[in-house]
Amino acid sequence: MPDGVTITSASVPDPASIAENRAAIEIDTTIYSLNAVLRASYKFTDQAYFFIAHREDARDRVVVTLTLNNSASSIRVLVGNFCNELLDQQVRESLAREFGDIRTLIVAQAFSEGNLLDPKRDDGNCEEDPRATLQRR
Amino acid sequence: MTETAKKILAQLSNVANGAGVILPLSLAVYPRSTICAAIEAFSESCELQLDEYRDGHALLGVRVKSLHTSDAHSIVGELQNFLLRSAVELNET
Repeated sequence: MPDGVTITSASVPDPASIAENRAAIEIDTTIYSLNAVLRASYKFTDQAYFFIAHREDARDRVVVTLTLNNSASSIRVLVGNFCNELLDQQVRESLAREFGDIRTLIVAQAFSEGNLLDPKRDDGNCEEDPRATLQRR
Repeated sequence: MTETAKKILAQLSNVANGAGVILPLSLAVYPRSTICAAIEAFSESCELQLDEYRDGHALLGVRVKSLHTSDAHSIVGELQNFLLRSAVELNET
């Protein structure tokens, strides 16, 4: 399992029959943001019921409780998939933070007629060589 | 297992016994508007009571009405997912 994630299989004293359908996962929100936790949980709401709570004695940790719904998947497989999705969401968030501005610029450039970074680049007569490209040779 | 995890798991296991549950809600996870929307959406099948007990925290008491006791497990589960979906959708906007 990735760092920052602690898994606790449900060992509820009673009734034992539902203990196999439930697990609690503790997540360090200094590693995985709350937003990533929410998004990862959201993705599996067709397979399980999710409840997210802050740990009472450690505010930077959340406990995610998964309870299988009536679908056929096993809790162990679901927990594994959830952890991978959590990592995926965190990477997406980090990439968006790092390259979001560049992505916005590329999309804006793709839909604009002129050059956004250098508006004069496409102006002028090519025979006059306004950018003096021939002189560099 | 942490105390918080134990408490929540114990609460959720009570649903199968037909007992009510008390969900400790962090308003940082589930904003007040999502809780209000959930209370409105599930008021036909559940008795819901919200108590804000300190800054940023609330307790949501949930008791499935007797007519729906046989579906208590899925009703409480759907309530949890409703809260989650509302929180995610609110984050997106």
